[in-house]
Amino acid sequence: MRTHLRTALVLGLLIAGFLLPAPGFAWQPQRPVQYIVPWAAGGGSDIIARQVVAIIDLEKLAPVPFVVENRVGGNAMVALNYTMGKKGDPHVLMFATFTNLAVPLMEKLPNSLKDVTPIARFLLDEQMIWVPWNSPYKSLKDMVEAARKAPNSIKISGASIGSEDHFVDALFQSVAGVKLNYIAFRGGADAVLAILGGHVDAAWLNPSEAVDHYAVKKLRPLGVASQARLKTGMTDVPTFKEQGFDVVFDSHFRGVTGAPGMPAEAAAYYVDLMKRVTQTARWDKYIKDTMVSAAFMGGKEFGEYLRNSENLVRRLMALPGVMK
Amino acid sequence: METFEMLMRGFSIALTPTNLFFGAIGCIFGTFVGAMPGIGAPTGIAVLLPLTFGMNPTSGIIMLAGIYYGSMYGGTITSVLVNVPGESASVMTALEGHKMALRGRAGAALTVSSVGSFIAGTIGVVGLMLLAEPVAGFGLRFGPAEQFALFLFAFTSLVGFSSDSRSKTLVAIAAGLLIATIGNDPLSGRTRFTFGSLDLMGGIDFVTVAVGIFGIGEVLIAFEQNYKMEFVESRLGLRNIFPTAQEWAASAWPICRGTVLGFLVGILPAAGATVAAFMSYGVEKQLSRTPEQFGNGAIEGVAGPEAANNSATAGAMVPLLTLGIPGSASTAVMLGAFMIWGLRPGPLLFSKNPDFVWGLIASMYVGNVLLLILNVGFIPAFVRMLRIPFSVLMALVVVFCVLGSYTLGGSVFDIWVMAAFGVLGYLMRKLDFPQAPLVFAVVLGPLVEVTFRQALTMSQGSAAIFVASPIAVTLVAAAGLVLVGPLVWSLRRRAGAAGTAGGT
Repeated sequence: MRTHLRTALVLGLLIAGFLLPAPGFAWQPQRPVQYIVPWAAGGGSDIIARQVVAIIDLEKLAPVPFVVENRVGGNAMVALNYTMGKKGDPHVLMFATFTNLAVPLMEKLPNSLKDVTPIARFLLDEQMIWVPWNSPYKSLKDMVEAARKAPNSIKISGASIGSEDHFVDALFQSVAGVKLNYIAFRGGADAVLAILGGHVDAAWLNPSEAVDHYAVKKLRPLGVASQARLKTGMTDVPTFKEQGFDVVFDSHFRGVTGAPGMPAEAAAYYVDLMKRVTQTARWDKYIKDTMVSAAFMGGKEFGEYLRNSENLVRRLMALPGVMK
Repeated sequence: METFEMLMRGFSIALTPTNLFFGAIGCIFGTFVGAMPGIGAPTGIAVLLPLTFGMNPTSGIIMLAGIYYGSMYGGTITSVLVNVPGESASVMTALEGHKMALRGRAGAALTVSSVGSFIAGTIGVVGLMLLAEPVAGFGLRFGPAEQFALFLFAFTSLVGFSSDSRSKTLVAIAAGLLIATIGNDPLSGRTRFTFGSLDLMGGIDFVTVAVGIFGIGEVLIAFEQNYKMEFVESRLGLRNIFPTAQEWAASAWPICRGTVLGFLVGILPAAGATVAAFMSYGVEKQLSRTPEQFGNGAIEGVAGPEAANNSATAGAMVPLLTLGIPGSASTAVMLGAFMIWGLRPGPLLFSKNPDFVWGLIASMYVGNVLLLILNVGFIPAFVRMLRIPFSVLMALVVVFCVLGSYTLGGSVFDIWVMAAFGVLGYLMRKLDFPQAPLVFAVVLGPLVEVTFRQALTMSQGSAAIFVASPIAVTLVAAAGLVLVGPLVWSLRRRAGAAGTAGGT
């Protein structure tokens, strides 16, 4: 009986030893990791990428330095093509956002974000509709009714065509069955200016872009286009769903991908590394300060999410009047 | 007097040894970055940004702000010495300042621009401090239609006040606008005129255009004419470094006008220091009693734009601090820095983080003093650069141009584009086409297009929107006047002359 037990124990340990890679033998980067950022230094994505690198550095999470490299151009396609060309290289990562996902689809390019190795989604930035403080619309319903009476009369500002603002707007219009006059601006800041100056009737803005104007009673939120309400800050703002419009847009993500065909153990290493980055106090502070939602998602799950988001974009692009 | 108290508190923060030190580093680095074509203030700020993560936010922002206005001082240096604008806001300075350098007045041009920048920078900060809140509301009234009307006015003043042929100026503007449409459509995200080239998808940056047209174009002309700069060398004595009383007198009003104009334009969304400098140049040329001097080294054309681009940087801080809206690429990067430190610029910043805001404002006063000392102190050294043998200097200009266009996006393709614009610049010089309007159009093209399309989308296609608000209608009327005015004037004069001739 005892020998049996002992044999079973030894066997069990042996099997376990084979199944679990011993820490000393796990894959680790051998040389500095190239962290490609498709946008210019100083932009929103660049800052998050550098924040991640700073955390890896300060918390000593990796044995090699991570080097941010801005490969700007072609609306992020230069970076994607570069990364595609690094097939199998375990030392190349690329920052990715919703724009990187949408542009290849709009331009009908052969490569898209699903072709690189999914590593991790860091966070989501919620889309909200805002109106001036003295606007006649008290709820989404008011706005939709007004839009039904006079199609195209409500001017709503947001970022450029093909941006998350534009697609969530398209989704809202199709769900509510109304026509809004979408005015594209080059970025969120310009869209804020337009609504503060009274040049448009409403705007698609992220929480951080509008929260202070809410505090001084210049702007007022009508709803959040997410599955659930915001977890911190403006927790009292109802979702679109609560107001009877099934508009859930959770594709405005920021995350990181790797070179295509990267060895599985390398990918697993980065997934784990990025997970540890998001578990630090520094990251928590960053998330709170910028009012985004922590939404870590790693590896295959993130890949699945990217495919779903691509399908959503394709579906929205096919709607009449969206890609004018 | 509350403002005064707050400012004193700000000074007590800005003048601590640590903050003074980081402010000085920022100013020096900014001057350097501004002088290098291709590396502008936004890049400089972004590169030093990670260094500030570990600092206390006030020290960090003092350093970054130092880079920002330091670059406006620095942009002048290469513009004047080698005709390569280091910053888009210094394009006009190259136009007049370099001509002055060829006449041996490089020192005067640099001194006037440093002093002008100092005065404008300081008054700009006073404006920022006292007027931030009321003036922020004024900026907001500029929607797409009003902004477009402003650009329209800027362009027509280029044509109307031009001493070059009007039709050639128009052609140059049209070419610039056309170049600006290459690449990504700023609103639809689609690409245009790229012929499937990935390199062209990002569009053509104005730096490649300006550096090519001014820098390489200049080198090519120099080779052809085989001109030498000996006459410059004989005048490098200390006495010639500083402007004459006459030059000071000529610069005084342009500096004042540039300061006010720059601050107002800086506040407006999207306009910024470059537009301010261009408009100041136009105004000075218009008001000048000797407009024919413009293009041949008129000191007013250095003093006005240089003052304007510095007070515009202070003006651009108004929407950034009060509304959280960046008016330029540099302030956009600074906004990112604020976010990292957990500060959200906007209507609450002044009340929530007074030490930060007032420390920053006080540091801008200190920084301007630092930069004045730094720049005036080094002018003799800068001017001596012109003693470098001409052949070597020209080779250096080429190196500058190549480096500048490469560092932009790290792509060799940009070097070729720059070289092509060099040839274009040469041809334009030979055929007497004005170059500045083309560069101006490349800079403003995307803004003009975006605001025009936004306005028309808002009005659902009706052009009436451009005359629907008092601001827009005033600007459009001014644009019409500027365009038609000189034409009518000259026709009448001609008719008058013909009339008298017929009478006798």
